[in-house]
This record gives sequence, structure tokens and C-alpha cells, in this order.
Amino acid sequence: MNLDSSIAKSIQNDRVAQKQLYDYYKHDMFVLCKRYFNTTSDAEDALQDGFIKLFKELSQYESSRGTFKAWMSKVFVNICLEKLRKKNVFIQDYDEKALNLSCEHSVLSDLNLKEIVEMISNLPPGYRTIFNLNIIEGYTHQEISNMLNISINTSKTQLMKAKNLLKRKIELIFL
Amino acid sequence: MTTESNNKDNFEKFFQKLFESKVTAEEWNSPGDKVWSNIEKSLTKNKKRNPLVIPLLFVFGSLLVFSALLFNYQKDINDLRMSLAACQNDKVLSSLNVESNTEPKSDQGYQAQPFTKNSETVNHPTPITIGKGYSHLHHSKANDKAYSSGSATSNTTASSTSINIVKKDSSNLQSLVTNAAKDTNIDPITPGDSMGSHQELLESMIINNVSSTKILEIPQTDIENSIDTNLNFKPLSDVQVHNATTNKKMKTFLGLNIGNYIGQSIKNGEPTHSLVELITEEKLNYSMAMGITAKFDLNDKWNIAIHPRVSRRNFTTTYILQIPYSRNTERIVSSNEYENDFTHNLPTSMGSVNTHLVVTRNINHDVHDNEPLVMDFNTTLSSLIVSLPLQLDYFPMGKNKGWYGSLGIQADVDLQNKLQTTRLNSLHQIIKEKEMLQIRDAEGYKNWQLYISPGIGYEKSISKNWILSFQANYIQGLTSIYREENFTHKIGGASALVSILRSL
Repeated sequence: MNLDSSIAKSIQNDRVAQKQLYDYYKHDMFVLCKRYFNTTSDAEDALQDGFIKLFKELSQYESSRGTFKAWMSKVFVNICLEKLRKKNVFIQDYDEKALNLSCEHSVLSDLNLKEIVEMISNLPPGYRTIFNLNIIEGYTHQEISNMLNISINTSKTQLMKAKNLLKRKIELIFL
Repeated sequence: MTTESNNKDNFEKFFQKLFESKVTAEEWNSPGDKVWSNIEKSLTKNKKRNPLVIPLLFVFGSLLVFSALLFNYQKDINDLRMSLAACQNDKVLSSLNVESNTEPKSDQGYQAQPFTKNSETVNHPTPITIGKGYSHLHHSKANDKAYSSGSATSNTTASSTSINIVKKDSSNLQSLVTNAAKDTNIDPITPGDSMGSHQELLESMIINNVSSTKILEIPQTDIENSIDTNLNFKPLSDVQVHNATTNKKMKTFLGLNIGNYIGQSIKNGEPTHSLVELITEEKLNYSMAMGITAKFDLNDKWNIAIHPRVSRRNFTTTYILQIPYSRNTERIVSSNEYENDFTHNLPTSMGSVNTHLVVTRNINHDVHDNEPLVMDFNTTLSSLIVSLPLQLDYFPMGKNKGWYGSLGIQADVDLQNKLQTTRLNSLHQIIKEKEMLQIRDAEGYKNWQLYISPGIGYEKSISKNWILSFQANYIQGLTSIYREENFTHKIGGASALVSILRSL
């Protein structure tokens, strides 16, 4: 697929080009959405809204400011955050045991992408959001505090807890 | 580098790298076919744009202000014309030493008197008007006899005229004409000019400068000093008084204002959201505002005023949460501590606020399953708001004479807002750590509002050009801050305003 050509045609509302872009990126973006939501239907909703927004704002993309995938990911992250804010989860179903096992890289390597995405998406929403934004998307705590209207310390605390929880989950798998 | 930090780095790096590479298509990461068809439908559908309420409002406001200015301008022009005419008239009359209802004095150089033609009475069929029509002549036969012009030459110019100049001293006349000419930008008469020239000049001066269809004619000047004591002029003082009232200029004032706002949200309707009852109070904290004020007089009793101003307003919402504690959802964080999460989505005046509460329970503090944990917390939304109040003022006792009533409409635009503070309180002993993550959602929140604002004010002149104005208004939201079907949050409150204005 010629990316530039597809983008240009998509801006002109060429449905074929839009479908090409969708088909090419749908798996990556779906995984991104799955990291923020713990159900497939929520992730699909986010994916759908993300692509609609993407096609509407495609003309704003400037190749000089970064790769298309990076720009696209930002659009989808924003959509996920918007949806998370709307989401009304009263009590999280979550239970675990405290374990004191180290989490080595070799252990992580044994996990497949599906398992990792599922582990992330099963974190409590606050942990999951900040973990995704900081570790995977690469936003700083300052940026996260602005995006979520929270203090930097809250962001740091949530991240630390998210990582601890994730490590425990990983370790549980290899018990 | 320690093993722990190595692990930490490896851990983070692993996740970073994992999602950098392109995902291979598999069943678990492939979205359903419906997704694309929904996207396609949405892209095809032409969504209706929201009506441009704010721009229309501003256009309407601008038109109103423009109309007021135009009205004011026209009135000024008319008044200016009238006062100019009256002034010129007055000048002429005063230059001619016209006095009425007074005893003529022997030393008066020139007295105006009814014009008579060869000692015959001229009965004017209609009152003769000068300028605006506040002076007219009417005289009797007897008077005419006494004060008729003697010269036949002067009579040749006579017709239905109004003022007769009686000469006492020709040098005085020259001086009079010179002075009058100065006032009316007519070249002064130089010594040596004949009286005939003076007459012509004075005549042309009057004809040229008095805005009247009636022509004042100057009869012969070389006549004896004789005064009509029964001249039926309308007194000049009356003319001036009348002019003073009709010439009251419709002014425009511009100045600064400072004021405040305070209010509370009023909830109406049945919310579909089950957690609305958690909100116990929503109030607009006392906040200052400042800006500029412009007032445009419409007439003696009405004016239009606009007070564009900027304010930083803080809106505080207080919630009381009663959470049924669930031991099933606890997770162990250490050998003697459990952690629990509670998430809420609360529809507030500032939009939906999502909260994520994390509580930590010590293992020694027992708690029953479903035991209610009561806690309260506040959220404050700090907004930078630009307001455009447009109001109509009525002064029952006339301008600058004290009290007035006003009725206005106010458009507010929230330029920037931020969820500023959070305070979480709980007396429940088991809750050791209280951590509240809040995410404010703009969903349901509209950043512009319309208010109606009746009020009263007091205005006082502090000098010739300056006025001081105090005003208090009740403000009632016409639009809802938080919008949900069958449920509204509207602001009800008060505002005060002090303005200092200068006439332009």
C-alpha cells in the first residue's frame, strides 16, 4: 500500500483508500484499544470512533511531525481516554494474592502478545490507563497529569501500583 | 545498576518494544466486520451542525448596539441642527437687542418692533416664526400708529416682516452689525459703508443664517427712537429654556466596571443517572469580574448598556458517597494490608466526573461485607469566563437622577477550565489511605450559557462628564450547564457591578 497516496485519497473522502488504511492498521489499533478496555465490545467501539475521527481529521496530519502510525496512535489514545471517562464501572472485580517473585525479562518473553494485552486490560482502570500512557505510549507524568487532571504524584503512585500488580500477575502465571 | 533497577528497565523496555512492532493479524486482534460498516455509515451520514447560537447572539447584540448608536447619532444630528438654528436665532435677536415684555428705554440704540407699512397696521395672518418657531409677532393698530416707520424708502422693502429696527445711533448699528457678523462669520462692515450697505448686509446675514422660511426684512434705519411697549414677542428666556430642554444631548458613556458573581445550581427533572443523589450541593463561589462598560442614551429615560467582562469563577460540587464495602474485591498488597477500588461516574454541573477511589484496609481492622463506608469530597472547577451582558435601563426620574431598573440578557463563554481541588473526608477507621483519582469528562458540559438578568441600579453624576453607577442583578440561567435528557442544572445567582463612566 502506498501510504501517502492512500492518505491523500482518504482526505478526498475516497472510500476505497479509507478502507485500505483501515485494513492495514486495524489490528494495531485494535490491540491499542484492547489495552485500554477489558472487553472486546468496548475496544471495538473505540476502534470505530477512532477511525471515524481519524478520517475526519486526516487533513491535519503533517508527515514532518512524525510517523503516521504515531499520529494515528495519539488519535486513538485520545478516543480511548474519552471513552474511559464515560465508562461507569462501579466496583472492579479483582482478586489476587501477594507474591514476592522477581519478574525477569526471560519470563516476559515466554508470554505471547495476547496474554500480555489481556493482563494489561484486566488491570483496574486507573492503573491500566496510566500504565498504557506512561510505559507504552511514552507520555511523561507531567503530560499525564495534564491529560487526566490529576497530580504528578498520583500518576506516579498509580503507575507503581500498576507495575507491581502486573508483575504479580505475570509471576502467578509461572508459578 | 542493581538487579531491581535492571528488572525495572527490562520490564518497561519489554512493553515499549512489544507494541512498537506491527501486530500480526490473528483472530483475537481482528475486529468484527460490523466495525467497518459502522465507520462507513458514519462517514456517509451528513451530520447536522449545531445551530450557531453564539455567533447569532453576538450578531444580534451587535445589531442592537449599532441601531442604538445610529438612533443616537440621528438624534444628535437633529438636535444639533435645531440648536444651531436656535442659537443663530438667539444671536440675531440678542444682537438686535430684542426685548419683550419690558419697558423700552430711551437709551436703547435699537429696538425691534413690528414692522408697519406706511403707518398702516400689518396684521399677520399667521404667527411668524424664527428659527425653530419660538418667537412670533403680533401687534395692534394702535401700536403701529405709534411706531410706524417714517421713511418711504424703507417701506419699499417691506412686506410681511417681523422685526423693525429702529435707529437711534447709526454708529451703534454699525457696531452691532460688525459684532453680529463676527458671530456669524460675515465680514464686518468697515467704517464708511453706507447704511444702505449695512442694511443689505444685515439682511443677508439674517436670511443666510436663520433657518426659517420667513424672511426678516430690515426697514429703514434712520427713524426716531420709538419702542412698542406692547410687543408680543415670546420672551427670549422662554426660547432659551425651550431650547435647553429640546437640546438635551443623548450621550454615550464609556468606562470601567468591577463586580462579582455568586450562585448555586438548581437541579430540575428526573436524572437517568442513578448517582445524582450523591451530589449534595453545587455552588458558584464568590468570584470577581472586571471589564468595560458602554452606555448609549436612547432618550431621556432609556438607555442600552453593555458590560463585557472577564471573571475567574469557581464552581464547587460536594458529594457524599456511601459505598457498600466489598471484601470479595479486596486484593492483598502486603502481609497486613488489603486494597480496594471503587469507581464512580458522577454527572455534575461541570460535566461528568469519573472518580477512582483506592482505599487501603489494615488486616487488623475488621469490616463486614456490604458495610457502608461514608465519605464526602469536593471538586472545584475553575473557569475563565468571558461575559457579554446586554441590558436595557429605565430611569423613572430621568438620567443621572438616581434609581433605575434594568433587564438584560447575558452570554457567557467558558474559555478555559480545570478541575482544581479535591478534598476527601471519611471518619471511617478502616480507611487508612484515601486516594481519589478524578477524570473530568466534558460530556454533557456546554462551555457557553445564556442568562436573563433583571436588576436595579443607582446612577449619580460625579462631575460634568463623569458618572458613577451601582447595579445589582439576579441572574437566572436560561440554558442548562449539564445537559441530559429530562434533567437540567441551571445557575441561579446574583451579581453586583460598579462602573465609572465618562461621557464621550
